[in-house]
Parts: sequence; structure tokens; C-alpha cells
Amino acid sequence: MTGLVAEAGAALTASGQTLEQREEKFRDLLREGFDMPFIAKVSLGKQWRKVEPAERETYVALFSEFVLKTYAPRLGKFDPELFHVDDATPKGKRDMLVASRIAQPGGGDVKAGWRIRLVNGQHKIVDIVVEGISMALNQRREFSAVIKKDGVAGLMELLRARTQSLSVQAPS
Amino acid sequence: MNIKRFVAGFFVVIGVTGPMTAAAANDDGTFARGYAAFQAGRFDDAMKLWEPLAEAGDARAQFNLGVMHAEGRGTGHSGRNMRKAAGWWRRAGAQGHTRALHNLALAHIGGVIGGQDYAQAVNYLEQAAKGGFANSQYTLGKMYHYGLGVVRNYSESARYFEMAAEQGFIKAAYNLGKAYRDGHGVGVDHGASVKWFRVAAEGGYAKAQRHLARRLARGQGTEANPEEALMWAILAADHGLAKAVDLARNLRAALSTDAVSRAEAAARAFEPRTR
Repeated sequence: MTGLVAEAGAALTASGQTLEQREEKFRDLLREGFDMPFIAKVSLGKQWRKVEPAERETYVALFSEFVLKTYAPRLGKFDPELFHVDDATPKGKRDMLVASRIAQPGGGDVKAGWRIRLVNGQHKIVDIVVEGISMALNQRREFSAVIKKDGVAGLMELLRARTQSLSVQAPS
Repeated sequence: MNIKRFVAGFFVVIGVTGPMTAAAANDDGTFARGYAAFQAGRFDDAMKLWEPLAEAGDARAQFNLGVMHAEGRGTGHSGRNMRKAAGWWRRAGAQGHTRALHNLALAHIGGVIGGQDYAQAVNYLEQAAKGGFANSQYTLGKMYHYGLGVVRNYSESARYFEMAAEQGFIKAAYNLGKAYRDGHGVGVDHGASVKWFRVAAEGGYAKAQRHLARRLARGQGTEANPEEALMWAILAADHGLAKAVDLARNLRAALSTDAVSRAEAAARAFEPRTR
């Protein structure tokens, strides 16, 4: 298995970390664990062609930050003890779908699927499916509407806005 | 199985645990304890500590409560609630709290409180920018650059980028570097372009490092210095910028072994300058 597993395993034993430190680790794992350029492209669908080649790098970077900002707080709320991996099954010709359940404090489970592909010898997450809804396809619907209304510049600003919202203020 | 371990490990690393601490004696102490609780992932505790302060008019606590509602932290089953977040930010913003004004603006740009409203966003950004808040000055520069909520105006865009860049806001410095390169709102000035790319590069901004590397390699706006160019190209390439990878490869091929070694050592020793 990849070095990512070793890194995640080492991180498991780390204690006494602040929220910001854990999210920084998550950011690192995100970079390494997700095939972000692929997900970013899939999240635009046909609209990808409207993004100038010079803008694509910026878009992928903004998209990565957007995913971090969107998913880190959601994931960070859960107790690891309540997270269970159920199964891994082939999905399509190239992928595996790892099924997991996240038990909710108030009862019931949230089902999350992790679509994983071998990319250049490394396992990469190429999509998250929460309660049957694909992250990439869900984003595509929203992003397409924004591009139709305000163009690629509007999408970039939307991503900037959602990623640059400031977190809590520290004591002075 | 390995894939299962991969997913489980990925997830658990960001888990949250920890006991509650005692309550507060004074406002600053309470605020600080709320911050410590938030950092430890004890969001319910942070909420309980900050709520009375916010209700009593503490703008810092109002802002932070807004963040908690926006991020769905300490809010129980209700999760994220942008309307509640905006409510707290408005109360803080009315007291001139620039972070709150900035987040309100971003919420209007992001369309997360009642649809996208660029004009309202610009209104909040202008208030925060007048208060000297670099993040808002930078975002306002972007709004003028793209003509969102305002008539496109490169001069205004460059003016706001410069305000933020002068405070060391690295993305503003990078954008000001591009403005001088392209003559957007300022005269084309390659020397000034390099100056601002360097500010952003020294702050650790990868795209600026790539631009600076290219200019040092060409001797455009600065004296040619391929060894230093390689150092910046290596740093930018480490962030995955494909063009920087190509540039570093070409520079390595053109430089002596000693020069390559020195550039690599300089890249390893690089520490971003904090503002």
C-alpha cells in the first residue's frame, strides 16, 4: 500500500493537536489522497472546455481548497469510533468502491462511499458518494448554473468566496 | 484490507475528542477559553462560552458565533445555518468588525444567504477596506478586475491590490505583479512587476515563485540570475506547478553542477516570510 497509509497511521497516534493542526493534516492527505485535478475536471463536465488553459491551474487549486473547506468541518464532527468500513467492491473497470457507515450521535447511520482508483501506482480517491449522491456530480450541477450566469470568472469568485471565509478570531 | 485501512485512517486522523473545562471569570478570559475549546474541537463548550458574550455585545464573540453557525460546529442537529451566521456577522459588522463585514461579503458572493448579490458584497467589502482590512481590499481588487458588482475598472483594481500588498497580503502582491506585467490599471513596468512577484514569492506563494523564476531566467525586469531562478522554480515545482517543473528541468540542464547544488540547498533552506 502507499506511503499515504503509513502517514495516516502515524497521524492516528498523534494526540494533543489543535483543530487547525488536524485540518492541516487533512489538507496534506487531501492533496495526496485525492486525485484533485481529475475530480475538479469531472465537477465541471463539458464546461471544462470554457476554462482557459491558463486558468485551469487556478481553478484546480481553488477547487481543492473548496473541497477541504466544505468537507473538513463535516468530517471533523464525527467521532472516529462511530466510523465503520463495511466493504470494498469493484466499480466499473478501474475503480473500487469502499462502503462505509458513520453512526450519528442521535441514532442512525450516514452511508458514505469512497471511489478509489489506482493512479500511477497509488490509490487515489476520485469521488465521495454520500447517501447515494456523488460529490463530483453534485458540484457539476451547481457549477454549471454559475458558469451559465456569470461565466468562469463568476465560478472562480464563488470558489474564492467559499474558501476565503475567515474562521474564528483568536484572543488578542 | 488495505483500501479499508486507507479510508479509515484518512477519516480518523481528523477525529475530535476531549473533556470540558471550567467556565469563566471575565470577558477576555471567557473569550480565550472559548477559543481554546474551539481549537480542541470542543465546539459545544466554545458555543456556551461565547454566546453570553455575544448577546452582551462583544463583537469578537458575535463574529465567532457566526463562524460556528456557518461551519455547523457546536450547533447540534441543526448543522450549518448561514442565516444565523449572517445575523451574528451583521451585529458584529454594525460595530465595524472588519472580519464580520468580510465574511458577510463573501457569503453574498458565494450566494449562501439568499442568492448571489455582488452589489451588497461590494458594499460590505468597501466598509471593511476603509477599515484597513487587507483581505477585503484584495477581494475588492478582484471584484473591480472582473467587473462583479461594479463596473470593471483596472485602476481601482490595482489601487486596492496595492493597499493590501503594502500590508504584506501575498495574493494581492502577486496580482499587483500581474497588473504591472499586463498594464492593467498601471503602466507596464517589468521592474515593479518583479518587485511584487518577489514579495509574494518570499511569502511562499507558489505561482509568484514560478513567475519570479521565469523573469530571473530571462532577465526581464531584473538582472538575469539563472541560479536564483532555479531555486524559485524548485519551490514552485514542489507545489505541483507543471510549468515550474519544466523550467527547473531546463535550468538544471543549463547550469553547472555546483550552481544546481547551491540552488537546491537554497530551496531546502527556504522559509516563507511571514507578514
